[in-house]
Amino acid sequence: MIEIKNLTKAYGTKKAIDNISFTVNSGEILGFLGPNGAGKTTTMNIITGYNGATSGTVTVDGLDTVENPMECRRKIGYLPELPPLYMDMTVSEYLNFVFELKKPDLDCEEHLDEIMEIVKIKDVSGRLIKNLSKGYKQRVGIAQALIGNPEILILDEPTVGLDPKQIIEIRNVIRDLGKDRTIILSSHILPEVSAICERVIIINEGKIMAIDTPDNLSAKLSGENKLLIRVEGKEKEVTGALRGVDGISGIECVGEVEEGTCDFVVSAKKGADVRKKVFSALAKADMPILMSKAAGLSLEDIFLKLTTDESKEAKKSKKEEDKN
Amino acid sequence: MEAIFKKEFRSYFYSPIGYVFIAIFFFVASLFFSINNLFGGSGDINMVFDNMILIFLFLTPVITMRLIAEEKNAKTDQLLFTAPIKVSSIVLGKFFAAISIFAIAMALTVVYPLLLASFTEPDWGKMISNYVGFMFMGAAFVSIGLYISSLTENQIIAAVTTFGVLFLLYLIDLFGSAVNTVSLFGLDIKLSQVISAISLVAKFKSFSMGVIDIGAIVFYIGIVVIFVYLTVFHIEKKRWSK
Repeated sequence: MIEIKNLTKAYGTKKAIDNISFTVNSGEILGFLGPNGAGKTTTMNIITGYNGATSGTVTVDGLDTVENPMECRRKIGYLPELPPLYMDMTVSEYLNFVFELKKPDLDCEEHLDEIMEIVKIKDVSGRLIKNLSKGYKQRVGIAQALIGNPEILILDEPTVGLDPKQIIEIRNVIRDLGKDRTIILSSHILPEVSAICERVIIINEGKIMAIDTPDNLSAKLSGENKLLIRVEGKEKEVTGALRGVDGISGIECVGEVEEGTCDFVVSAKKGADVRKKVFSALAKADMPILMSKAAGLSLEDIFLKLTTDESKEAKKSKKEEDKN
Repeated sequence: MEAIFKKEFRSYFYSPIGYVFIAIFFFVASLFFSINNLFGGSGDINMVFDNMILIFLFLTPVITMRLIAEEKNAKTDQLLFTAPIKVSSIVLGKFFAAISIFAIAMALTVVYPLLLASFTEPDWGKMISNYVGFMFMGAAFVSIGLYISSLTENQIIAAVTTFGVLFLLYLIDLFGSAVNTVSLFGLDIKLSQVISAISLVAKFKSFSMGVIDIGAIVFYIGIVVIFVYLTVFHIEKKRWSK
């Protein structure tokens, strides 16, 4: 559906994005993940035709966005990072204006009604946009992108700055919209991407670091099974009790969270399930396990691993963060 | 273009800008009219028009400063420039909206000739040529303000710069009479002639004498075309800069 080929955008000598290529399939929700300044917004601005690229091409349904800008723009609904709202207008005035601007071949009243129903802003349609809460502004921004029923939605950080309840609501809206549309969504919040997206592109400093499903990324990069346990007892005693257990390749103490306990990451050899053995070994030593969970790499770990040169350092700093 | 025009025109009245512009314009123009014509007992409206140039000089920045600068500042340009509509249509829609505000203010001043008509038989031809000339000159002023508004995100800077440029264009006539001839590469150039050739205000003189000067109209339209084009060009260049 969307094909991006060798796209580069340079501001002076600094390259905001550097020779990136990927395709977006019809009907999928693609997550665009990266730290601030990675080039997410730049890429989206180029796809939507707001900015030009230094080199490379973007094609939408086989049409080049530079050669056929009008046709391409009609297929794309764009919600920029800051929703492009006119604060002095009421919600319905604003949506009417966007409708007139995009001039889709639809019945205005019916179409706007439908959209306001989808994003649930009917009850504020008569209010001035400047008086709306951030969550509602974001919804009006999404409504604006939906006008003209574009097949593709590009949402730049749609949940940034919202409260947890609003985030869940917006996510549900996006998930619903994704049922019959292609969506590209950018975010630096990882659980969000893994919750909504079918495929993830991780981008850093203008380069693509990985493209895959969230699950595959996790499996590919974690390599070995890890178990995170919290045991009552002293560090040395616990390591001593676990040393003899078959199948364990490493034990690492990651600190003390509750008083009198220690947290450990127990690494198992490939394919081995050490949970039962760890349980019986510690039970024998009379050291109760207070908590146990699989410590597979979360998207956050993957993200740090991919976006930091020395992954070990990143992990260390992350652990320190966890401690705090 | 209609969508932009409608939105822009309405937005003048969502904020106080439209009202303020029209009210101040009408108030000051009426002051001149009262002093000159009503109290002065004159049937000649030229003085009022001459002074209206000055008022308009001060007030043009008020209606042009926000045209593009505000869109950039509020990032609403992302909506406009990713919509299936040409940049030239957006710019023209905005230009005509600003012209309309100007036209409304001008339309109110039609009261003056009508008032005069109740005392004397005014020179209708001269009136009409004055209005025609003023509309075209106003369009040229607005196009300059529009262009300057596209150069910045800051409305205040746009307003101050627009005023500075228009004021300079107004004063340029004075320079013309101060300096006469300069020698350049052995050629004697009559600077006053060069200046009156590019002066926006000097071109208005024939209108105030009752002549509908086609040359001046073409000149004003040329100014509008150049600055509208420059605005579009600047916006496109910014977006596509490599």
